[in-house]
Amino acid sequence: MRQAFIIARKDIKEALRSRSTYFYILFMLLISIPYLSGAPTVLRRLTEQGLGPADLQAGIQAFLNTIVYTLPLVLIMLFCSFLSVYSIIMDKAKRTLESLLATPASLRQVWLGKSLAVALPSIVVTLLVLLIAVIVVNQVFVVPNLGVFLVPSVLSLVAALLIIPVMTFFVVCIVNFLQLIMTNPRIANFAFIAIFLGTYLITITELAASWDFSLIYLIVTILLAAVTLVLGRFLSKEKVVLSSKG
Amino acid sequence: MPDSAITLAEVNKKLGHREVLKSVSFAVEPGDIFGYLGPNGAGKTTTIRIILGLFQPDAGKVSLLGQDVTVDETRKHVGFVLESDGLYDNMSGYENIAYYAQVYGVSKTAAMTERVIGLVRLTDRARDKVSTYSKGMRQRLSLARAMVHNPDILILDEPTAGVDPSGQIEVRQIILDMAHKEGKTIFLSSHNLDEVQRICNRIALIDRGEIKLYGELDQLQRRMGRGEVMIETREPVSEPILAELARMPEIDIQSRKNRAIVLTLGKGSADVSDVISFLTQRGAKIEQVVRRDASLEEIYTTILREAEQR
Repeated sequence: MRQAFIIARKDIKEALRSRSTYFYILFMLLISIPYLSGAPTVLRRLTEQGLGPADLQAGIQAFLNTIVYTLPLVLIMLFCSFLSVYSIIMDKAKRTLESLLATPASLRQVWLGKSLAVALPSIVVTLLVLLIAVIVVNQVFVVPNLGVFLVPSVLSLVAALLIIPVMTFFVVCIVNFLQLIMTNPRIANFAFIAIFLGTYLITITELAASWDFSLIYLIVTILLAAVTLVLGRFLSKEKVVLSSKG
Repeated sequence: MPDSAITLAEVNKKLGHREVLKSVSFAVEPGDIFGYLGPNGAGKTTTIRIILGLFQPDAGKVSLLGQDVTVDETRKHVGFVLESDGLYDNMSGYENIAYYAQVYGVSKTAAMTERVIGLVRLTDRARDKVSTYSKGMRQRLSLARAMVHNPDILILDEPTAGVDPSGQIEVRQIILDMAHKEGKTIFLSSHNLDEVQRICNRIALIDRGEIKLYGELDQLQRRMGRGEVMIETREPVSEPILAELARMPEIDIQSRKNRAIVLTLGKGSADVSDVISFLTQRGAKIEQVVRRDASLEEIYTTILREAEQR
């Protein structure tokens, strides 16, 4: 475990040294704007329906919860796909991975370290952006209209603070697995989009329509964990080294 | 009896359909500077990858100091410089070494990092980004990384490749210091025959996945040599004696100039002492005998040519 953290810390340090990381954080803030811009529309529609203050608050609360459920998923996948470039893709391109694999660090520790290096900063940055989003929605739309500061529901918070981060970790593990064994590791990044879209599509199916988002995320997380465990059996240093050629 | 530093016994390896290593066996003894030679695609890098546990052999056994190489902990005994230096360009030389010190679990990371950077004479550039280093400096830094956990064995794959001549001298000196002052066993894979001849005491030559030659370098040079000998006598040797000498089995007189005769001895029974006693019995006074063993280059080309002809 210790070696995995050393590897993760080094990769995070390297990513933080790059200016493009900060540009990407800014980009994440910017793409949150269209998400939040739905707030005045929702507020207007609810007001036009002539709802009382309690129903109005419930409607806004539902909107806020949706943001907390879905925004982190979008942001985290975007940031992960960006950060993963600094981890395995760069290591394979510059042939630094082979040297790391020749140390006493096991392949699983390297895999874990590389996955933590992508997942941890993505989770932290996403949660910060989400916090900013919740404050902005409240300060700009909710407080002036309702006079209260709305806190997202417990379930949405559980999803954002616990389930999505865990799910992210397993998604990153799967993508990193693909990056480790693929000759062109950049292609593996499409898995981020595939898994994100897959999760999103589940949330809009009829079956899942009545389910809470957190339950859907939990099921997806369990599935991803199982896939990660199975994939771990197929990883070997030889595959990684041979796929690093050229 | 202490274990060999590196042992490969009947190692086979296939990559795809290609048999890359065929029954490769050799041992590197503690304290050796072992030269591993062979043309491109002979199987040198695959051998190194197997020794470092990056590849699994299909058959055979590999051990480091008697321990199984597939056990992660075994690799604590080994430092390496691979074909690609594996350094992180955006980090300083110091950070690169300190990172590996941590990965290896070195207890006094800072002190050990400073020490090995000093050993490779890069202290004044330690805080600079590696991207600003010359090829020679990068190779020296790779050597520092190989040493940071104080391993018993160093595996060096082409450590002077692409380095300018003065850089090569520096790298070579560091390798010798590591062997002689630090007591490390060195496994040196190289195309530079001159370099191997200068610093290695034992070699193996691999071609198309097979070990063609293996042993102590000076013995091989003697054994493989065309056995060129220059014998200088006080007075010029007479023609009839020379003609008689030329009829001796496996002796080939190359030239004669005044008092010096240059002849070659075959690989069989002929020996320089036979020639000396032949001449002294016929009244010649020997003043000097200079024996020139085969150079590594001669050995290398002979073995590869023979393999080609087969």
